[in-house]
Amino acid sequence: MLLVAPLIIILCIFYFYPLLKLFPESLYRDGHLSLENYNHFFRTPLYTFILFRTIRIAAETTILCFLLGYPTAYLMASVRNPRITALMMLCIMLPFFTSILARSYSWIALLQTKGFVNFVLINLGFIERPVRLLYNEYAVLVGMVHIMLPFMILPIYSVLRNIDTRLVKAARNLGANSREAFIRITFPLSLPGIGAGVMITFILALGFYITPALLGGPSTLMMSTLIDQQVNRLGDWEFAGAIVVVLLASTILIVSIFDKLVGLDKIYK
Amino acid sequence: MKRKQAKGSTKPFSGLSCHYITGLLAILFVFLSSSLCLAGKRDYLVVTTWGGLDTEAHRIAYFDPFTKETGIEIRAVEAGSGLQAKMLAMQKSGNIEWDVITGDYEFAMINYYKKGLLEKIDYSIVTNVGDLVDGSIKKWGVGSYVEAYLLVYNTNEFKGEKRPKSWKDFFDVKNFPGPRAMHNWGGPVDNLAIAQMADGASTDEFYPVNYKRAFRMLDKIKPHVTVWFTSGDQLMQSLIDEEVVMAVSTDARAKAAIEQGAPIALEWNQAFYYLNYNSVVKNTPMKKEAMQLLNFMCRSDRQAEFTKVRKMTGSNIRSIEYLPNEIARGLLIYPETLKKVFSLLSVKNGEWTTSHMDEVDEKWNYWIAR
Repeated sequence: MLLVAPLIIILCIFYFYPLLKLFPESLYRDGHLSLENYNHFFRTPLYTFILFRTIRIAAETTILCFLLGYPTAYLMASVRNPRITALMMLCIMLPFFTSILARSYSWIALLQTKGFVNFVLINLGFIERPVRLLYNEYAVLVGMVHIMLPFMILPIYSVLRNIDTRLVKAARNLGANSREAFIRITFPLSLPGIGAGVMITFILALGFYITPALLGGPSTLMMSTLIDQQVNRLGDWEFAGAIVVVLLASTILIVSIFDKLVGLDKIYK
Repeated sequence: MKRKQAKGSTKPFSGLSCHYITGLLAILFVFLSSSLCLAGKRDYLVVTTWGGLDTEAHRIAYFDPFTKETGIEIRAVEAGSGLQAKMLAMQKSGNIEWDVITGDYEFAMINYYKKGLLEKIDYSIVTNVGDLVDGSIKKWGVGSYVEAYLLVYNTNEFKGEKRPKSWKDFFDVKNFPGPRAMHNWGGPVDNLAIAQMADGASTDEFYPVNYKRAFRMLDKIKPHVTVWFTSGDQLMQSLIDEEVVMAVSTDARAKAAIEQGAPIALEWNQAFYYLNYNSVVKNTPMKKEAMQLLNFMCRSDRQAEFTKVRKMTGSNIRSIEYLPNEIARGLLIYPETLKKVFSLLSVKNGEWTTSHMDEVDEKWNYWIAR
């Protein structure tokens, strides 16, 4: 119990304290206690619109990460040569050593009109004029999936790795083909890993700031950018607080719905 | 004898009192000096700049010559995005660390002033204001340099008389086809003004913004705006790569793009400008010196120096007298150009913008996000 103390102290100082300060602030408008900030949030079409878009982009990122991450994790778990596993692990961890900012900028270098991707496509004869690959939702998704992928792969991998291989063997022995064995044995047993991966990816994606700001265009405006605008441009902490609270509340709501559907307690088993 | 005795008798006491007084004085001294420290009367000024070239230009054009003339040292600090938060903290704690704020927009400055973060400018000290452009003299600040927004077009695409000459032409995709670039950075009020101008509005009709009119025009052009840039680098890249045939650009970025080989020309007709202001931090112990610096920064010869380094146009129209003709001709304060341009926030009802900034932002964000 004592070992968790530093973490709890850090959380209290840097997370709960600011949050507890921001929440009452969001209940004030021009020095008076009122729900005007929340009223304004839900009355102005912009904010709910952006809230749903943020949730949608986060969900898309999560789904793409899952589709790309699960096979990778499965492959890693089934490789029995520790050297190859280590190599694969290195490839997944390597991007972690580079800052998100640097990685987002390198996507700009790759995707820009005179960038590498357009250069290759033109030289291979697929296109004649450079295509606009940047500053749209696809670019944001590419960037976000790239950054989130390890958060999906690692939990799934660690669960898959610990599944008793004898169970699959037994299933095969009892007449299941490899597809059936996967669907009825491996996949259900890997659900806790999927749950953890999906959870982490989705929650992180909801609050993403740098990548959408750099790779996105006007149609990819997300909640975090709105919060930044309120704080840094308009200096309106009260309304910024309200946006933060709504974003947090929606996150909690979605997580609890997810919990009802999948059962988060499985993750901690 | 009597005196001597008296002296002698008081000696031990006077010795004690001497220590006593020295001690008292020492305490008083410490107390005084610390309270002086709190009051912060210093022998130098702390001035915020935006870092990089901006700091460099301020130092060369203003700070070093000011120190030379007055003997007051200047320490430049980088303001960054947390400017307002830091100023609020200073007022709360009473420890005023900064004296002068340089180069911030009208909206920001008014906001600071309303929150009690800025002093009222003392125009009995700041007197070099006779030749400043329209909109420079405010109670909360003095105009320092101007940034123009204007139409730029690709010269390979549009030649001779077939070139766009107004915002109406910018919105006319039939006669002037091709992709366009507009900005999507803080402060969309200029885009709404441009749209209204394209629809034939006079400057008197800008504010309060007629959203219906502005967005009806913007709806027409939206499919043709392929670049919504959020940084000047993005804008320049799209001009250099000839990704767009027209853009709403700032004069500084357009000129920089030309220097890097972009085949574009600037159209000053219906161009407008924003001022960047200098101001003095509320309750600074160096108020008089800070005002002196503000006055110094209005000087035409100093502003010309600033223009050379920073490539930004000074607010003093006479600064062109100190600049070589080839530079002066390209500036918006050049007499012929100055006749065509106007200050976006100084036209009729301009003050409407400062109280409706968040509303404009919300309407714009919603329009552009869809």
